[in-house]
Amino acid sequence: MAPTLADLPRLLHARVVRVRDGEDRAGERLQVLGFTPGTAVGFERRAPLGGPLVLRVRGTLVCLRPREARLVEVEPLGLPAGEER
Amino acid sequence: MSHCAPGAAPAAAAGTVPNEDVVRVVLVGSPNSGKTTLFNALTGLRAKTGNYPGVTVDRRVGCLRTRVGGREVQVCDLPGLYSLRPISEDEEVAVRVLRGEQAGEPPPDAVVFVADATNLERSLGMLAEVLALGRPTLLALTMVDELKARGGEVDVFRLQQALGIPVVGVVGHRGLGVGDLMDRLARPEDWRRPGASSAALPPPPPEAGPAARTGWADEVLRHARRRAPEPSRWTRRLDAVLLHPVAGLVVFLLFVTTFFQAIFSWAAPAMDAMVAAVDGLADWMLATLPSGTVTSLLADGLVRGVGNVLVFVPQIALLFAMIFFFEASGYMARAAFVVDRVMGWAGLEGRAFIALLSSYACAVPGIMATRTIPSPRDRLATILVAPFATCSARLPVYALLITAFVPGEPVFGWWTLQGLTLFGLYVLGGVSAVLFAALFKRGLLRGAQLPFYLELPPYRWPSLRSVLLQTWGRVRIFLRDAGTVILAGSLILWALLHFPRVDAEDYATPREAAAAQLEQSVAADLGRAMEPVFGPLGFDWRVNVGLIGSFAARELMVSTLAQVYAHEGEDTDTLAEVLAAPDPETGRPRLSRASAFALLAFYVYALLCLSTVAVARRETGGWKWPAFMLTYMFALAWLAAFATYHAAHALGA
Repeated sequence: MAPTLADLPRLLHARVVRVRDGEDRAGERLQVLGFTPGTAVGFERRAPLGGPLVLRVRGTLVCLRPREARLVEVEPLGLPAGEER
Repeated sequence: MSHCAPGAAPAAAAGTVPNEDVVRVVLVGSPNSGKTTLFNALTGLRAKTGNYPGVTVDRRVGCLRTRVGGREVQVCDLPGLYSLRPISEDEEVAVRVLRGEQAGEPPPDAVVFVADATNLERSLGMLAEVLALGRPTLLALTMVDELKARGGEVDVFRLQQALGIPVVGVVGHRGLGVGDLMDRLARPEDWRRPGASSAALPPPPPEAGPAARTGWADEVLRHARRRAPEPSRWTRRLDAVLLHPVAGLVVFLLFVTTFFQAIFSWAAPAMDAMVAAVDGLADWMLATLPSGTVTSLLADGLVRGVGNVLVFVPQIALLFAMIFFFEASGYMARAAFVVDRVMGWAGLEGRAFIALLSSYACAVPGIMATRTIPSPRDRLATILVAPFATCSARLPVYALLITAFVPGEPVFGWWTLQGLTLFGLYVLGGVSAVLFAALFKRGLLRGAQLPFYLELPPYRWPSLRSVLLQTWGRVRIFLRDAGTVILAGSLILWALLHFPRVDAEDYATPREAAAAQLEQSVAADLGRAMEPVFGPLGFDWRVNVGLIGSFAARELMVSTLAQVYAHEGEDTDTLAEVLAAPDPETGRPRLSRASAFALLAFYVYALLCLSTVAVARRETGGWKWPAFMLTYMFALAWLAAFATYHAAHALGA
């Protein structure tokens, strides 16, 4: 299975490949929030115990639950340049 | 929502004749785009508030008029949007107004699209949808100062070229660029239409998906030689703490406790002054005017009734000022992130937390705040539990009973037993709200969960003026909605307490006459009739009269009890002292400690607020849910009070 945003912590930086539809137009809303194919997404942090994730996309910080994050398929890009982590 | 072609808006035929002299402008933009600050800067001091023909849109849409260069300009602030395909009710209203589909509301003459200059990559996508509507459109770029400070850049002239519409950079909270924007608002016919310029990049058709729109946005930004800003350093640093699994939780708990402490202690002097002023006026009227039914109606009914409403204004104002301040600062979204696990367990989402927090001031605006929750089921669950949040109307009741029956011993540091009891009652309300939401979402309102997303805006110093104007807006809604109900309730209550009239001549002193008046009133009869229901909780008829009062609004409990017990005890005793002091006839306290605790438990759960019932009816579109709320909350309150009463008795209280 293709990796998704929910797998990001170990990838740190990724590009959106495809957004699954999900229920109740979830996929559409995720794209409206900036998660369109080709967009680079940075991982910021994740609450412990399967809590929500904070992602950087198109100049904004967006918080998603793992359920929604799993709808966004990504390809890993590795550590972003200039990242001091 | 898809049947609308540009210009073919059905509302044009809805019977309103657009006033040719007025330019109707709507502000559209995503949440956190600085739209409301800009609205307040545009309309600010020069604007007039009021009801104008056609301005019946919705209370989510704030409209103000102002005069620019001899023309009336009406500016309406729409709720924040991410797309013109709405998923929450809030978004739906905005889209209806924008498309001119709102009944009784003429379509807007022009659209000001507000976009945060620091995240144009995201926000320009929706501009493509707005341009497709075909109305004169102007792009207002907010936060241009922040864009520069973070090393970003955009060529406004080339951006205008690429879009084919005017672009104005503004710094809303400092008023920069606002004058220029204001002048342009008066002449939307001068704004170039989309496609008027050959250099403009045509936006994708409305049926194209979000990916096509972001693609267009990227192209426009390339043309405008846009350099994206660095992520805000401050935001990174603060988030490292405030979103931290441990530190973030500690800060959150500190935030919430300080929040309540501030509401309780900072608003107290203003509330006390308000009470003193109202009581002074009422007493003065009673002493000066000829005694009789009319004087009593004016002083005890009208003046104290108005006082019952006004006394909450300082607290509600302070609470909303804090909520708006923290919302604008960016912290509220972080708080929603921190509590998301708890909310998620309850089947709700972070936004429900903000509605519940608002309900701690007053359930009326709290229930109105649920409109931003996209899922109808989540929204209903939040409405059903919102009244459990300890609203400020409970505070006087809690304060009275705690002062009378809980010793003020210090426990730890500055904490006293009284303070901890109050805090416990606040926590009990919140915990009950979350528990019952979880129950409803697992039973009655079971179903698929809507997608959850929450934008975490950069931390920003809020515009004080914007915070104050928003606060004033909410206070006005409270005065209008809750105020009228509370005032009417106060007047009805006055009638119940003062009829049938007794003849004061028959009694030796005015005090005895007043006591007899109360004993023989309709309210006392009702109180006695309620004894079979409330007797098991340890409430006597006098407490029941107080409960009758609080069906109109909880805080009326205190003023009702004050009237009920006014004729007992010494003149100098406070109500709390009278309640806790032994009755000279029986030698037992007028209200036992067990009954007092039972009463506290009753107040935690019972829906004693007509305004909340009214707003729940309006928001759920019928009587079904408010009737359900009244019933289940009453049953719960009775059981909780019954258990408390017997437990307290067993423990010797």
